[in-house]
Amino acid sequence: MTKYFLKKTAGTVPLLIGITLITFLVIHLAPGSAVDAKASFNPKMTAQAKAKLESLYGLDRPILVQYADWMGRLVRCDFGTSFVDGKPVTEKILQAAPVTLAINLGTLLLILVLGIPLGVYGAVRAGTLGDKVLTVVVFAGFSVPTFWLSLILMSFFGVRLGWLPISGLHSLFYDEMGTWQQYLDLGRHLILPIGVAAFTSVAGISRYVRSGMIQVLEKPYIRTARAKGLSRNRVIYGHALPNVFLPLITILGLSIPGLLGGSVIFETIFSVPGMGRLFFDSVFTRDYPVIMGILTLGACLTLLGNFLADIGYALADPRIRVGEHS
Amino acid sequence: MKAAIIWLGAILLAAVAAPFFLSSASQSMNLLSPLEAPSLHHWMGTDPLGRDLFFRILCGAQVSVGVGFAAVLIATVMGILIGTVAGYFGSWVDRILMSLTDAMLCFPVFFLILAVIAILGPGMIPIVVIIGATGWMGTARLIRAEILTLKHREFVLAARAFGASNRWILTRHLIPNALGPVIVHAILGVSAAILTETALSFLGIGVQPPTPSWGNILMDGKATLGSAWWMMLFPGLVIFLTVLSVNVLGEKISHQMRGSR
Repeated sequence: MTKYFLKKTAGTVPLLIGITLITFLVIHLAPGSAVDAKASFNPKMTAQAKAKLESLYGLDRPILVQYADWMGRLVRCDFGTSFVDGKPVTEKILQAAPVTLAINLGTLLLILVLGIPLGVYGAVRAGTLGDKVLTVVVFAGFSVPTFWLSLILMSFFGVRLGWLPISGLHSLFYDEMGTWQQYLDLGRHLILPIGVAAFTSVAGISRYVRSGMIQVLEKPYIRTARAKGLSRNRVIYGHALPNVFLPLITILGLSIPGLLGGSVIFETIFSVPGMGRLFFDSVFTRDYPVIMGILTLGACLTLLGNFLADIGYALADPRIRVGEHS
Repeated sequence: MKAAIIWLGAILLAAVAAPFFLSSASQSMNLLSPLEAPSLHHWMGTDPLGRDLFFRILCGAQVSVGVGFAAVLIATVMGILIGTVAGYFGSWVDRILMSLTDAMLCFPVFFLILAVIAILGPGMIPIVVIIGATGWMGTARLIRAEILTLKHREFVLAARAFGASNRWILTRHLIPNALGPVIVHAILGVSAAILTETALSFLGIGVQPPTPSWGNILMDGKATLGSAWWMMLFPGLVIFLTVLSVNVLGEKISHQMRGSR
């Protein structure tokens, strides 16, 4: 197991370098720089002042030197300072990341809680009316534009009925509330973003569980379990489902980049001060250090997710950690 | 299934024909009738500038569907090239190309797209290019896997024994045989690309007004949230039905291909 663990860890290093190199090149080879963006707001800026700014930010040095410099600081968890307000990038990201992570973890949880039973139901009742209705609903969730669904729910529950808040994380009088009220308030703000995100991505999991279950239910060991006289639920949940769970770990790992990317849309629509929103704002001001920081962090989170999925898979399935030599 | 095909046919017709007949009608403002509710005269109502929403949505089809198809074309060609080269030549070429693919797969694609659009500036061409350039990885992996199993098959060995060149083998034997799963993947890619374009235009960094795209029409709808339901309902509904139809079609085709094997 240790050997497998080490091998997987070593495997992520070249990927990490590849990721940072791609980001760095994409952003720095582009025409126009942060200094240009600043200069365009200030018509009095001279070429001299521009050059001074460029050397201050280190933008006048060869690109590989800039990359090496950036990597050197990255190893020490230093992403530099924002071009816009001079705050450390790490501080800005740390402020925003917990919000995004909390929302995404909540979404993942909801996807599992909804997707697995739906998938099992679809497989056990394959071909019935219930299964067909479910397939249609799941397909709809898969095809609906998230920003549109958010808008509709916002205007219905938020504006028309006034049941739910439509933006931000806290109400106006948040600071004066008791602890429980604060949690309740936060929860009410999160219902719509998490609900929409989960509805639109539940399709992947439930369809996967459904097709996996249908295959597993035809296996001889399921027939044996049935023949033994086990109850229906015991066969489905005790014998069949665990075998579907395994690949599910990988699917969850793979769904992370999609969720993170989606957070840009949700956080912009619902005015949630998370990483997606920070990224969106930084893109407009060409705040390279922040863009680089979030891109790198996003890719690293994905890598971490895949890594954890690999390890989880190996823990659950001895064939992987012992038998595989590739 | 039939409904999906009919809907897609109508949308494609609108995409091809609407701009010829309606481009001026879709842009003509009438400030005397802003934000009118749907009526016999304006089937889907009017926007804040008094433009007819139905005409704008018809014209928007060209942009939104066109961007979707063009982006997927780029992604598929890139994917086929990279996957084929990696799978056929193997060894270090394969390792480098597949590491690149894996690294690209780690990025939250939407972040990458946003970053590049910030650099290139919003507009139709950058969007097509960037959606295409960030969408080839799945195709590359699919086609590589196909090539790996195909390249040791007898008909390829036979071609080689006859003295066929690599290029001949690739273009006449391997790629045509590996295309099946790629086509399904490409169809599903179109729906994803339409969603991405509309999302970008909705955020204000995609196709820029006054060129109508389903996304930027919906962006106008956000501004009138709560006061003009038609501004929000119709553009979104059209996106939804189009994406749904493409997905249904893709699913059906993939089902039949699996069945035929």
